[in-house]
Amino acid sequence: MKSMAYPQDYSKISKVEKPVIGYARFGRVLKFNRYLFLLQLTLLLFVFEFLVIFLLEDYFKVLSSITKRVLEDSYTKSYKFLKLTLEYSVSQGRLPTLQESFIYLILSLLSLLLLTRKSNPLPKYVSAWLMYIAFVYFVSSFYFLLFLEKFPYTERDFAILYLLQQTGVFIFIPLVLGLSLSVFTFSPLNLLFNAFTILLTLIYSSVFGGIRYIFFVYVLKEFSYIHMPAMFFIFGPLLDFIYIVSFYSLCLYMTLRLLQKRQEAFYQWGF
Amino acid sequence: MGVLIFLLKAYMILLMFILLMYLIRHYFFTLNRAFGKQRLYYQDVLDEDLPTVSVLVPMHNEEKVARYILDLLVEADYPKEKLEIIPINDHSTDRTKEILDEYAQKYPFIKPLHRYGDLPRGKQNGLNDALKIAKGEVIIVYDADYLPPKGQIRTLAVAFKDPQVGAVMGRVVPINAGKNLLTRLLDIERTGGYQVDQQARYNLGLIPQYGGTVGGFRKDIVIKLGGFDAKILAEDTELTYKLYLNGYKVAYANIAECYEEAPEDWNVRARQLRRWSRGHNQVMFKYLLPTLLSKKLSFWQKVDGLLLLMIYLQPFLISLGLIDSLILFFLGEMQIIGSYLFLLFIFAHNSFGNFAPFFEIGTALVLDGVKERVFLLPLMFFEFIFNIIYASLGFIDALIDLITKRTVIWQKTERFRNA
Repeated sequence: MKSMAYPQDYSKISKVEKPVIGYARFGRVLKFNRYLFLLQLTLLLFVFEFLVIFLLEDYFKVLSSITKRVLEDSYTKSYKFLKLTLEYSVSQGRLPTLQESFIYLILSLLSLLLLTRKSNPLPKYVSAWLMYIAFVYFVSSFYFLLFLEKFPYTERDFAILYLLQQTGVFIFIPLVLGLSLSVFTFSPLNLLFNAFTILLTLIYSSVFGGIRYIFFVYVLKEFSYIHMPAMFFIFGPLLDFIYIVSFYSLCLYMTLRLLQKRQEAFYQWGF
Repeated sequence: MGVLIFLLKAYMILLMFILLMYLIRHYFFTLNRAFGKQRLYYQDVLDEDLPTVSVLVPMHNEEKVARYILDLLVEADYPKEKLEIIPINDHSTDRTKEILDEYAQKYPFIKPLHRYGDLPRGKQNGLNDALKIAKGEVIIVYDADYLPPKGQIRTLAVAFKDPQVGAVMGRVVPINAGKNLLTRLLDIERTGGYQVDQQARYNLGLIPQYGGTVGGFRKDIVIKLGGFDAKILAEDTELTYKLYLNGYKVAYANIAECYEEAPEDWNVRARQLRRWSRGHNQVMFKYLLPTLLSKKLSFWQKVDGLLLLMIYLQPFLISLGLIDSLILFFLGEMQIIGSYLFLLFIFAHNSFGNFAPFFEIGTALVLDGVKERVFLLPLMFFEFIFNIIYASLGFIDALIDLITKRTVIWQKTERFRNA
């Protein structure tokens, strides 16, 4: 029967010749090794959580000394968290002036108005993020314009809040990656790859978290507390989540590639 | 002030609990699909006594895609004496009517239904009218941009050999996945949603969802249950709940893959998402209590049914959570922020209904054997705020619908194919 449609690119459904016919994707499941799964869960979670808690005090001590070197006017304090003593260095921040608050208020309000206009040429997903950023700055500047004296935080409070947040990130990395990567039990090598991924993510997080902290303290000192909400609600845990997922992707890709080279089986029938 | 802070904190804790429930549910689904025992679909049933089938194809200004789907349906491997195709031309102002008439002249089993004049627009209204003239025992529905493979009608129809099956649902695969960032992201979301989520719900005897296309239902049951509610935009979700509350089930056919055209433009996607959210939340308002009180559903079906109903409520709750945490921040409640902010974001990212969490999509991509696409996972970050905004707007629309009882107007998804 002759097609009545016009030819176009959607009709090009690629035909791939495969040397071996694999399990059809509708009914296959992943090759599963119960012992490896449980071993991974136990080792990845407990070993790395222990490592995080064990190194937490030292990490913040090192960060504190680096901060002190970078920001010469900073001073050092410590915070008791459960049984841990977390050290931090921080420079004195400053409140925004009324003029600053007013400028940020106008800028954020204008941004919101422009972004919500139908004629906005930016892609909607970019606009959505910019709207979110503008909204956080709008709230922040509005607050500082009206309740400047009531702002409840000092630079020390900020530092403690950051410490807690970074601790949360460190604790959650082994948990999130351990639970999601343990699903793959193709070979004992999985344990090695997954452990390496968690280690790499923790190292990345400690470097990134440290640089971010020093940068934030610098911003609070030079450009005022008006940026503090953005530090938590925009450039805080949301950014951490991106690299955690990126490392998950990288691990998954590398694992599959390497195991494919070793001709490991990934699938079996699920029925 | 103390009471306000208590309420704000209580909301945060409640939100965390709800999001944690979704997270656990998705993780459990992932484990089940990754290496649990899979439930067989009915593809092995070989029966010459196939039911009569009416294929309905709702269309509104579909000149770009109409010929493709009609060509493929004409080629369908289903006894022609048991098959009729009813393209529903719903107030089209382009060449859709002419195209349909051209095909009807050539093929006697193509019987277009033209809807013009005072007839109310919308997919649900078109389906209701088509049910009045359809002769098939089984109704199979395809949206106009779909490209059904040759044997799919048989694959879907055979499920109705099980008298408990009220509806069947196949798997949707975007054909234009490689077009741009949006289509790539939608493709991996769909992979997670079907390969893991739907199949796991089917495996576990929970509530796989009838999705309104690449699926079908028994005509007599749907007519007996009153057809489709003209005020509800998500007629598919409504039918799922109607069926389960009346003792029927939905079968999921992971084998029945059908190509669709995913939106290629963020504005189109925004409208689609808002409409889905609005429709789904309309169903939530209507079926939340009946689901909770139903005697036909098991305990776990109720849990899954309620979580499924609340999927598009989540983004709105998350928006409130973000505002709540901003207020708490300025009220000096730093401890709760320090402890919960990371949790809020991680839970929010991971518990978006059919915008599946990263580990569910990652597992689905491995199951599908498309390892390169795992690199797209971090890019889902781009969608995060976008999804929250447009799904929340859909919830607000549904809330206004509930209060004002206004008439809903169907917004068609724009097509991108070059005709």
